[in-house]
Order: sequence, then C-alpha cells, then structure tokens
Amino acid sequence: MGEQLAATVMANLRFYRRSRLLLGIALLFVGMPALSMIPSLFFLSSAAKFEIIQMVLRQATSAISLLTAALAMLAIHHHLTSRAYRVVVTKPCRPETWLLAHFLSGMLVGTALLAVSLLGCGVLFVVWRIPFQWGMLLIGVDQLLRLLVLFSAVSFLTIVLHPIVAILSLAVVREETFYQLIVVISAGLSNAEGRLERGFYTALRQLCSAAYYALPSSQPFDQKLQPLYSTFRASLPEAGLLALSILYAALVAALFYFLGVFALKRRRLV
Amino acid sequence: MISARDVAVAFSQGWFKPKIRALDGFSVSVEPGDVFGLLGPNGAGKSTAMYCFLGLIAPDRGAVRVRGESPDPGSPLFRRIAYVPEDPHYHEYLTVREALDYYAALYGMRIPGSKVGSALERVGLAESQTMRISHCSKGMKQKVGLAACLLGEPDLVFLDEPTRGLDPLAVKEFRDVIVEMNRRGATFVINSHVLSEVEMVCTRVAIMNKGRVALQDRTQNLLKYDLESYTVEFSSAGQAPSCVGEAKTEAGRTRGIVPAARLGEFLGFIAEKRSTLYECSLKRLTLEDAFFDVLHQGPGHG
Repeated sequence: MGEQLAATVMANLRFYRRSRLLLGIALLFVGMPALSMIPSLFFLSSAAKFEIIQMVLRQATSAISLLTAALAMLAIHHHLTSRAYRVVVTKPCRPETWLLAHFLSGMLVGTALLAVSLLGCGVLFVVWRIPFQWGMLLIGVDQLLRLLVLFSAVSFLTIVLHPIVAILSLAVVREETFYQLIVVISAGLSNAEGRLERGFYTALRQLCSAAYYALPSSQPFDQKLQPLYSTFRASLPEAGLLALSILYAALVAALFYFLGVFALKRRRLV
Repeated sequence: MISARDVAVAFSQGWFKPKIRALDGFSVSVEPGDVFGLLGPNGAGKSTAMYCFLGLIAPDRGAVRVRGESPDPGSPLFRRIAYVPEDPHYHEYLTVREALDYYAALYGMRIPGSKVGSALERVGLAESQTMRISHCSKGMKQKVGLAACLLGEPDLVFLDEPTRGLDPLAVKEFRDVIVEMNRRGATFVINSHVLSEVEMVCTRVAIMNKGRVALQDRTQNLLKYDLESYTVEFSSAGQAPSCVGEAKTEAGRTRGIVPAARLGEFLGFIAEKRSTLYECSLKRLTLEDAFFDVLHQGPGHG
C-alpha cells in the first residue's frame, strides 16, 4: 500500500504542477492579492507595520484556502471524468488508497504554501525589526486545520456532485447561513401574533438550529481564537483550544474521507 | 476463470424516463487459457459485460465471479489482471514513461528500468517515452495500455476494442503479443467489432444481442464447412445457369453458390459449354455468417 500511496501522491503532484487551469487559479488567488499589496509595503508608517503583517497573513491564508479547495475539486473532477480513476482501480489499488493519496497530496501542497506564507511574515518581522510573536505558529496550525476540513469537504462534495453544484452547496449550505436564518426567524417569532404563526416559526427555528449544529465548521472556536489573530500572542487557553480543534478537524476529515470512499465504491465507473 | 450468471444491468436516463437495459439475463463462462471474443452490434452490452467482469459496475441482478471471487475495484484480485480500455483514458498529464512507472507501482512491483524500456521498445514507443500522453495519438495511447500489460505478468487480460485506431503493423504486433501471452497461459477476453481479427485470435466466442448471449461456441465450430453448398468460379460467356445462386460475373468469370443436390447439373453445364472451372469447393462458413445468422434470427438462437 505504501508504494501505491507514494506513487499516487507523486502523480497528483505532477497533475497540480502541469494543470494550466490550476496555474491560472493560483495566479488569480495568490498573485492578484499579492500584487495589490505591494504599494502598501512601500508607503507605511512604523506603527502600521504590524497591521501590514496581519493583512499579508490574512490575504495569504484566504488565498491558500481557495487554492487548496481548487486543488481538491480539480483533481477529483479530472480523474473521475477523464476516467483515469478507472485505470487505477482496475489495478490492485483500492479506492481507499487512492482517496488517501489525494488527501495527502492536497494537504502537502497546502502545508507547503502555508509554511511559505508564515516564513514570509517571519521575514517581515525580522526586516522591520518587530519582536517576533510565537502566536503566529499557532495561527499556522489553526489555518492548517481549517484547510484540512475545507479540503475534505470539497473532495467529498466533488465526488458526489458536479463541481458547480458542489461550489454552490459549499457557498449556501454552511453554518453561517443557518445562523443568519436563526436570527431572522427569531425576529419573526418575537413579532408573531397568531398561535399558528408562532408554531410555524418555532418549528422552522428548530430545523435551522439542527442544521446549524449538524453542519461541520471550518473552526468551531472561531470567536474564541480572535485575540490570537489580533495580537499574534500565544497563550495557554488558545493552545488548548487548538488541541481540541485538532481532534475536531481529524474527526471531520475522517468523516468526509469515509463518506467519499463509500461514494466512490457506489459509483458506476462507465 | 470467469463466470456470469443471469446478470442484469440497467442504466437510468433520468427521473421520468424508462431505464435502458444494457444486460438482461447475460450468462457466460470463460475457461482458463481461452482467448474469448465478445461480439455483437452496437448497444449489445459487450462493454457493460466487460465492466461487470472488472467490477466497475455492480449488476442489478445475477452474479459475476472472476476466479471464484466477486470483482471489487482495486481488490488484490487485480494483481494478475490487465485491462486495456476502449477509450485510452490514461493519466494524460504524465509522460509515457511516468505513466508506465506509475502503473507498475500500482501493481506493487519494483520493475527494473530495463524492463520498462523493453516493453516500450516492443510496442514501438521507445522514442516517445518523454512525450506527455495528452500529446500522443490514439494509437500511441493504445500502445501505452499494451506496454502496461507487458510489464506485469497477467494471467487474465481484458481488451476492449484493442486495435481501434492502430495502424496495420501495430495490429499485427498486438495480435502477436496476444498469441505469445496466451501460449504462456494467459486468458484473454476481447471485445471487438472486427470479426476477421476475432476469427484469427479467439478460441471461443460469444455473440451478444440485446443484452444477452445469443450464441457461445468454440470458434472452430463456427468456422465449419457448409456441406449443403459449394462455392464455384468458372469462365462464362453468357448467363449463369439457374443452379448457381448469388452469381456475380466480373471480367468473364462468374462466382456463385451451388447447392450440393444440384452439383451434377452444374458440372453438366460446364462440360456442355466447355467452360473452365477455376474453383469448386465446399462453402466455408465465416464468423461473419454466424454473426449475421444470430442477429437475423434473434436472441436465443443457437
């Protein structure tokens, strides 16, 4: 299995490197924000340097998230539609191995990109002589966990849905959407007068709450980790939350992985 | 080696449309050492049957067994199985050499570079090994599949329209490889439209129609002589006698079929007209005759 895994990871890395579509997406997601930030690097006061580093890291991590999601989507879609996947499973390589190799290669690229962006920020700390904040490493871990959840969700959705439908599902069916719905429904409930109307709103709120809690989140402790992102300072409670996040991300990724394997096995490969 | 019993596969066309029955009561058995040909018109279910053998489709009904096991995608059963698909959908972003190395790794084999090189040499791709598969012609892609077959030592090979897009030289090479591997004990299942080719290499054939096997027999049994009629060719100046059926005259020579019961009458005509008799032999039935017979008389015939 090790040899099959390594060979498939290598093939996937070659796919990433040679896909022109991925190159275009990379230029769009990474290149454009980077270019737009160049002027601000030259016209800044010393007080704004720290905010600039925060902005660079924010832009870089969101670009890496989008790029990693694109990697997941394009790699799965390409191999399934070009039927190259069929060539793999007509050899002694199980769908489990193939999907695991897909996860590993995607996360390898995501981790490398994150490391490069963190290193870039570290260089800015040194160049601008700002005391280095170790909380940046915790941010790196947090971003890696978010990437893992996003990558696994996108991979699973692309196996079962058309990529466009997968993107739409990811954009619409998310916890934030249901949170907003709960807020709106609660407002409607407080203004409702009739018994029937109140019952309807209550049932709807229960339904949205169920969906809100059931849907996986990219980071369940998002609010609690905000101080880390604003100060870059590492503290024990935040490290504890990240330890819990590791467990959560591993569980969500495993869930999507096994659902993906199940869907691949059920798929008719004609 | 392979058996399918009462297999049914239907494909959905959409929510409110009836399903297409690709296989319906499909039963077949392939013995070790066979070069087994699956024949049939378009839509007969040949490719679907092959996908069932490879575990790419789970049948809605019936059972498929390969070496006594149910073929699951990627199972260890595939260690000694090779498959050359109809549409050569290999990893297009890899070069020919990278693809072969990758496929060898999927078999869990540590294949020396010289063996990969000789496989490429054998199929005539040695000079194109650094070319990306996406830049290869369809014939070259087919050869990649054949080279992958040669890398391992499979004892069961599935070929889906293997010679489609190949030049005559490559077709001959392909045929030679099949014969050579079969001599070493490999079993082949070939899905093809080219009847002459099947006739040359297959030891057994199944003719499919409308999702089921209409006829399954040894090829030599189908290529027998028809004792009821003779193929004749003779010089003729005028009209052919009534005993010659399907007569075609070209450049003073008439060719046709004479029923055995009227052979005496025909020979009398030749003697009387002092014609030259070029050929008079028992009519040989071809696979094409069997194929059209089965198709015209419907499934179940034979």
